[in-house]
Amino acid sequence: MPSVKSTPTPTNEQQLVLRAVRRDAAAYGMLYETHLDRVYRYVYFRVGSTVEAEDLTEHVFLKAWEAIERYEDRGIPFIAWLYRLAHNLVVDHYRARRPTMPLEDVAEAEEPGANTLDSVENEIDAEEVRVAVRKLSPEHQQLIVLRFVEGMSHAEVAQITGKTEGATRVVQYRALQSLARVMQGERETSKSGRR
Amino acid sequence: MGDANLLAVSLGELEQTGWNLDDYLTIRKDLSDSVVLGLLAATRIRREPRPVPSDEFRRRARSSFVFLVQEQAVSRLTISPPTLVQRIRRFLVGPVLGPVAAVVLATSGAGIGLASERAHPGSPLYPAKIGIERLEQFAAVLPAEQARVRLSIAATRLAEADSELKSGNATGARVLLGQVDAEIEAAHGIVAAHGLDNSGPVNVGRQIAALSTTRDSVLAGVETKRLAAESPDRPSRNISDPAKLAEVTSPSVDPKVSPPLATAVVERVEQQSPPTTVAASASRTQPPVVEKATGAASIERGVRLSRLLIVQVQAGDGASAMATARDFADTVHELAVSETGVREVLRQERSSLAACLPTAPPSTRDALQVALSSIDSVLGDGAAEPHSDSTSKIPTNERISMDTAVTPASVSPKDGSRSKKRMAGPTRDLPGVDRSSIPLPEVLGISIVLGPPPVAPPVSISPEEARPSGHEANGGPPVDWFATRTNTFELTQASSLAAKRPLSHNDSRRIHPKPHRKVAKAHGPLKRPAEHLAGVLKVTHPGLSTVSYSMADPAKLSVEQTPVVGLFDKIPRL
Repeated sequence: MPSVKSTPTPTNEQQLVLRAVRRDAAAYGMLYETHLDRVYRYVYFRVGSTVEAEDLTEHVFLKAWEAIERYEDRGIPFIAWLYRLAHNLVVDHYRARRPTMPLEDVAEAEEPGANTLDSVENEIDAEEVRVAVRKLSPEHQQLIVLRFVEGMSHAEVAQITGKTEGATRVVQYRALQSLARVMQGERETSKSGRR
Repeated sequence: MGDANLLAVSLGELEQTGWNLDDYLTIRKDLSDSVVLGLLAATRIRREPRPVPSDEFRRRARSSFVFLVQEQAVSRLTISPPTLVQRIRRFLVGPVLGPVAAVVLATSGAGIGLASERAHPGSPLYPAKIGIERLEQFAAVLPAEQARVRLSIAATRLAEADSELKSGNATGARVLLGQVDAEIEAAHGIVAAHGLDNSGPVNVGRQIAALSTTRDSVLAGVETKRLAAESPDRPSRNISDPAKLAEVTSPSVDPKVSPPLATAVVERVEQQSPPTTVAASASRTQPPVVEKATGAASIERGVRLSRLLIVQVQAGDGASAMATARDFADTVHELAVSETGVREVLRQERSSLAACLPTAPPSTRDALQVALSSIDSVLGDGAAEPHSDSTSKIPTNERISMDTAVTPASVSPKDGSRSKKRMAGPTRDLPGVDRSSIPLPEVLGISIVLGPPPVAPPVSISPEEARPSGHEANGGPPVDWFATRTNTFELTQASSLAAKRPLSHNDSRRIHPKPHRKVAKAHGPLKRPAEHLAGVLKVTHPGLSTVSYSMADPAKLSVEQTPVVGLFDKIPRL
């Protein structure tokens, strides 16, 4: 599981955040360097496209810089604030985006002479898992990514989402059940589509 | 215990076992189906490869952020839309109405003046403060008074720069220092143009010297902050000693550089407007006047020109730096170098200029060479330390700290799928640009790496890694074809592709859906995984022009990174 505590140390990060709040671009730059990967990963699992993930990640840090003066240290890590911004941007992104044809349908439509290798598809591959995650509700997506991609604890997820730990566990249960159902449905669809 | 809590506890236990689900379920046969389902889903997610942002994206986002920060820093210091004071100024045409303006200032403007006197950049009264300064300039009729006003404004800017530096705004401090230089230069121009006597009540020379000394200390503070931000683990050093400047600014090498990024940064810099620092613009609009007189005034002028040159070099303004360097050279040649004090001053200035050479932008190095050569030619006793052309020492893969305020060009999206809200940043693919003569933008605490692309070694896939057409799991390590978007094609092992199925068109879909269909259309059904992947790679990675596979052993695939020769080279079918 990836390390939950990111460098710099909390004390150093607090100092960097304090400087960044005073519009110290160099300090904010260091925070950017520290948290870029995590925010990108989080956004990527939510949107599933490298192009969109890059766009949204850039906007997360842009919005964070614009709002940094209003940031208040409430005892939660700075990355939690970034995750909240990222979550809101992803939600807005989904609302604004036109519905697109699922990639599987597009690929199937244009391959009349499908490769025989595809017909043997039985297992869930990585792409199907990401597609399944994106079909969850935003709340479930957020929890799945924070808990099982970023490796955060229940307490940390609770800080980010603003819920109690108990509520986080319940959401986790529901999210995993939904994910399992979606993945199972995806598997059955791909099997029937290739026959 | 409810299922939600039981699932949470089970996940904690599973994590402690290293996510070995099979063994855990063997032990915990008491778990309900819903909990087992949750554990399965969680384990599945855990096995997903973690995507990493490409280096190209990192640099592009970084550049966009730097541009935004600089733009905001400059906008905090510019004058807001015309205030009442400024509108009054517009009615005052020429020095004839100067006394009238002074009366207006003394009466109705006094209240504004008192309130705005302590205003700092960004405060609401700062524009009023600037406006009053402009009015004072109008009110000054005599050249001596004009020079005094200029120096007064310079002193005010210097105090503001010091204040900004103490509050942590190094960028703002740097911009204000540029304005200080502009005002000093203007005062000096007035003195030179009117032949003012420095022994009179307005001793401009002495005031300039005092301001320059203070300015240097503030600049040293700015540089110290910048270097400390770049290397937080390094102990903070006082760089007022130029000899130590080169010591703390040592280049480092980053091997991971992609050519599109290198050329993209070059293209971005080439398209941008000339640096807009106040110092640069001021020096262009008010070229320094060459003094023919010798003595203390010439030495002072030489020292000031030397320091102005350093500022212009750091700002990356090659044209202004060259003009200043030539004036400096003329001044140096007029000095009476037979005096010991003069030689000592020249040696000190020479050290300061030489210390800037390693980190100077390429466009300003010639100017530095001119200045250094002028000093060497007049000293000529061999005591001057030889200065080398640092360009020959800087490795081609260099982490460069760049200094200028720039206006990067807006970026036209590479394809229509990009969001229109993308911030301005570097574009890609500009071959044939000579980046050695182009200034580079400043990066605050963050470096942009340039250099030629690394030569990636050929990558071979063993037969165990490439699935044979038998489509049977043979226990070999699976291969993740999810390559990054850089020129380096990386093969990583992914546990999710558990060697249970052969490669398929799906493997390319995550990168870009269209080439996936192109491959199918161009090549039709492909029977061998390696051949299929070769076709996919040719489309998804145009930089990979050499993708070969052995006819004798179709499962073996060799990939080499070479310059692009064609987007869609056909490969024979089997």
